[in-house]
Amino acid sequence: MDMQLIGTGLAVSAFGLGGVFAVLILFFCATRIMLALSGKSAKKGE
Amino acid sequence: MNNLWNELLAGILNLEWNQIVMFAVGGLLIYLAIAREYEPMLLLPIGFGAILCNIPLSSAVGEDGFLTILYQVGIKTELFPVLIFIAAGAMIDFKPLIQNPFMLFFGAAAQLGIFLTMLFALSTGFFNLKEAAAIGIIGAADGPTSIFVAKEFARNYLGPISVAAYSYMSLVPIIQPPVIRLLTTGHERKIRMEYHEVEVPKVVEIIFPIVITLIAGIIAPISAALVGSLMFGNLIRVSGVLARLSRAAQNELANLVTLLLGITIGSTMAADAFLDIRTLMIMGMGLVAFIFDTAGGVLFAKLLNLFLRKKVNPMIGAAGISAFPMSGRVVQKLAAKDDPSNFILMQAMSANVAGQLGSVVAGSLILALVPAVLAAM
Repeated sequence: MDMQLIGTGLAVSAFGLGGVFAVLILFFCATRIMLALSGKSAKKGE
Repeated sequence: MNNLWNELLAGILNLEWNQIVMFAVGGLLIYLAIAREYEPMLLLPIGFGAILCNIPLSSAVGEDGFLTILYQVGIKTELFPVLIFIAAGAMIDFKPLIQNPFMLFFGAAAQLGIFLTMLFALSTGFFNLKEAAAIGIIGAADGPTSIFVAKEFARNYLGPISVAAYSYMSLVPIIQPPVIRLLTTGHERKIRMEYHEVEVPKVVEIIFPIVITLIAGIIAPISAALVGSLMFGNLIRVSGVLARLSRAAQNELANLVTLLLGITIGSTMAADAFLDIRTLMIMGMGLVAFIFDTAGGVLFAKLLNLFLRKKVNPMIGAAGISAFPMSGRVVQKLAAKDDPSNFILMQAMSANVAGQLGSVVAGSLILALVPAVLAAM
């Protein structure tokens, strides 16, 4: 087993999975902000 | 006279045993599509494409062959996967996810299978990093993303990777339940989840695909094509002023591109490249990827339950894969089996939609990371 290759694979996995979580956390924050802002503007409209 | 005979019998004289085996493989795919209804829209064209390209001296492939031209135009340029994404975007309703954005986390966790399978493929010693990454992406449970990455990293294995991705997607109702049952207790499967219908203003539905495209595109520019096309399709759907285009994307575009994509993928299954021990390994590792995905989602949900006051049903984690809507339905079916009055379909569907975003992001990040890591070596 080529340990250097496994090491590179581990690096891709760590950054990849971390990256997926980071991007989806940003999606989460953006969605919450959009919902909050639209809720506020709806209240103002009333 | 001799030349005439040679010309007439050219096909028979050039027929090799491995081509006959590929006819059987193509026939098997067509059988699975028709008799078992396993992703028939793809497996049938793939099966027929496999037969066409293995006919000796076939005019369907080669420099002027229509399948080669389709490959050059649709796969090499990444046009077919992108068009499929536009169609998929027009079909997806992101509203359940916008109502419950917490489910996005399950869409991330269920991508674990991609990376574990990549490591597994590397550990066999048969594949380099790019090939292992392309095999791992089967775990995205997302056909177009698998094709997109395989075309970039492992063109030789485009056929088996696509066949594995689509076959296992159709086998989700068989693959996921035993894994979920193994990792959860009866008590956990009975956990009820409250569902509050949140009204999503139209403006949020419209801004959502634009914001998602911007975030993904700025963080990983390579994702712009995949995420952008998915979100473009969705914008057409939610805009409310393009009903005709939305219908065309969901029907005509999806059907036409699926048809061409399938037969073109099939045409990459030439006997010399396909009949290899690695093909069998790829098919096996595809199954491993789906198992790891399911386990990753369920275990992440169990981990969250250690900290959450209102517990989530850990089966929801399994729905975080991209196979929509099969995975969400599987989870609801399992929940109803343990407690017929337990209804978690909406949460499961939210996680399932999140999985569609997660898989595209994961595929894009792999496309960006692998060359970067290799360059740094």
